[in-house]
Amino acid sequence: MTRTKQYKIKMTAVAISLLLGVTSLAGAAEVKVGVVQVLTGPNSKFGGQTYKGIQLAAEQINAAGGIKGVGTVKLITEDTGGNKEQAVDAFRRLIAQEHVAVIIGPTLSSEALAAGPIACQRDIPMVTVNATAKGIPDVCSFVFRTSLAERQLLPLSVARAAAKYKIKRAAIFYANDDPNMVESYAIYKDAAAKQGIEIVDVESFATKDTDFSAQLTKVKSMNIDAIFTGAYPDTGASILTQAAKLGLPKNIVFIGGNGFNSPNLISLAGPSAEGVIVSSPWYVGKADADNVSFVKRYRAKYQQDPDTYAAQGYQGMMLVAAALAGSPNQTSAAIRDTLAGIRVTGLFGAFSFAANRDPAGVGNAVTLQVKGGTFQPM
Amino acid sequence: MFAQQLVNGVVLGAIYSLFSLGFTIIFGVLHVINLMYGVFFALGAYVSLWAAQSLGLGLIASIALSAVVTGVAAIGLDALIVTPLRRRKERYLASLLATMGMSLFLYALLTRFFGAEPMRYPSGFSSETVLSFGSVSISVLQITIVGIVLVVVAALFWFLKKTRWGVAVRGVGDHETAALLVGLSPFRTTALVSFIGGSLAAVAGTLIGLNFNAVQPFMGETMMLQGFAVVVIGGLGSMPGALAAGMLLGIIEILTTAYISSAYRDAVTFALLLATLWVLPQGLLPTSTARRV
Repeated sequence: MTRTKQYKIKMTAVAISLLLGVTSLAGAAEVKVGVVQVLTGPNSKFGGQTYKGIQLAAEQINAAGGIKGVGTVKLITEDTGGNKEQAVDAFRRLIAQEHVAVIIGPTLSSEALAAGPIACQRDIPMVTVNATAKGIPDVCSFVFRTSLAERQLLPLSVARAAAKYKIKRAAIFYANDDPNMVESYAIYKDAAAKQGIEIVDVESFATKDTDFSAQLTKVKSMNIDAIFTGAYPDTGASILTQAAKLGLPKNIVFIGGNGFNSPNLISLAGPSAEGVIVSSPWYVGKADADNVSFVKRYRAKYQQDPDTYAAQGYQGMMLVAAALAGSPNQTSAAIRDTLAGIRVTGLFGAFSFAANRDPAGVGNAVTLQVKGGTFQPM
Repeated sequence: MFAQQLVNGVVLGAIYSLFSLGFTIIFGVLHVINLMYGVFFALGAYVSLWAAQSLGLGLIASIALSAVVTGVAAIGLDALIVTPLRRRKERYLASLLATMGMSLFLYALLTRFFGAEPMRYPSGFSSETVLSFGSVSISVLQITIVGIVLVVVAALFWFLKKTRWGVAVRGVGDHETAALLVGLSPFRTTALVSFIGGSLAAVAGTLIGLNFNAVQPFMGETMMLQGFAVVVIGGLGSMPGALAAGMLLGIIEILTTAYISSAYRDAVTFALLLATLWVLPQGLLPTSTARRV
């Protein structure tokens, strides 16, 4: 055989196998959903729980045959370690190499603000289920947020607590190194002004601080009715236990934001967490059928109770699946438009997006208080 | 209120000193920046937590077990990472990078085994009694911490000045080659210093973890910056220096928070550090050693 003929035969063989390969790929009928969450490092408790919720939802969808007309859900997960540069890289990888249809994530507001522009450049819808800082959906029309922001939940907590406990004087304790907490300070100030509550003292600290004896001793003698707190569970639990140790008056009511909304707060602070008030879009004891079945399935798979982050992950995946199913075709623009107009009822009650792609309302948000070691409706 | 704030400051100061004692002895004697110290701190807390939960041991027994286990782990890890680098010319930089890398790996390992969630000691593990003297409250645990810091500083001071092993440690710290020439084994002395550093970290980790009742893999990291500042302000390798600097820092931080603003807390620490480097670069209570000219 001449060399040209050999070459031609080889090339034909290559072409045929490529064709077969491509057609076999097309026949797989799956949709890739990117997941970008914090799975390692100090913030992994938030992202890890969210990821568990997303996984549970994806499994449930695939067990029922996948998304109608689209295929099975394949989750492609990237860990950011809480680092916004890694979040940006994760987005780039998922979009350019994995060709995902949608990205669920990131976890933290700082990551969302850094990586959002990447989704915008490549026209891939991004749904964050945790980030709560101001202005995230404003990055561009492809960025959506399902988590209720502090600015929707905190005023609720303050108003309900003020009504129940007749709060007149309060102090604000907030972590000044986290944009969420700095924002909650401003929101507390506003909400207090609206309720006619006098803010007698403002104390700040770093998220990683462990000693609050100075700040707590200072407010002990100021005759306050409440302390409005902007901190994450670790820091919050330290504040609560030290307040109890220092003998702060027991009638002081602690109000927390999204950061306090975690069973970790109770397990760390123990009896000092009694009476803490937090508003939440969801809590584990919600009695509707959707939630009961979600909690049961979560417990069976993970041997622990879900928290709000897990519920938000689950809800987020369900929302994305509904958008993919309802979209007239699988182009990014169509998926984005379907997502923007979506109306579903799920773990958080009736859900839809407002014009600015934040949740349209507070849904079934409930104000909870720690009683007997668990969060109960106040 | 001032009295209570002063008490708060002394307790915080004792905590900073306790954390820094092991750090300063490693830094001052072995002349390496061992960033794995933060890991030993957390490891010590986890071992005593495990001892309390699984073996049901009391406070003293758990601390003792944790000190020994962490000390041995420190010997192993130091021999693996630090000792080979001490012979190199760039010992400070190389040890900084290598121990930083190893500490990241170890943190991931700790997170893998224990999870990132903070854990609590079982209730009743340490006395929960809070004593009140008028308007000042202090818990028995906090008094214990202050007491232990003073005892440890005195013990280490005596060890380094009065015992043969202590003198050997100082000798190796001063000039390794000369120590070799007079027949001191640098390997054994290094191992001894590693053990002491590791056990001190473990004691600190247990007590501090107990005081704030949260044991999580990164608990050492939050203390590292303050610990570093204390070590430099007090003078490298100086026990009384670490004590003085720790107390000073703790008191100043608390009083700043109480009377100026809590926003300036960290700023104060680093302003003090800068001031020391500017005015007294050898630290507050430097170890008096002959310096090569």
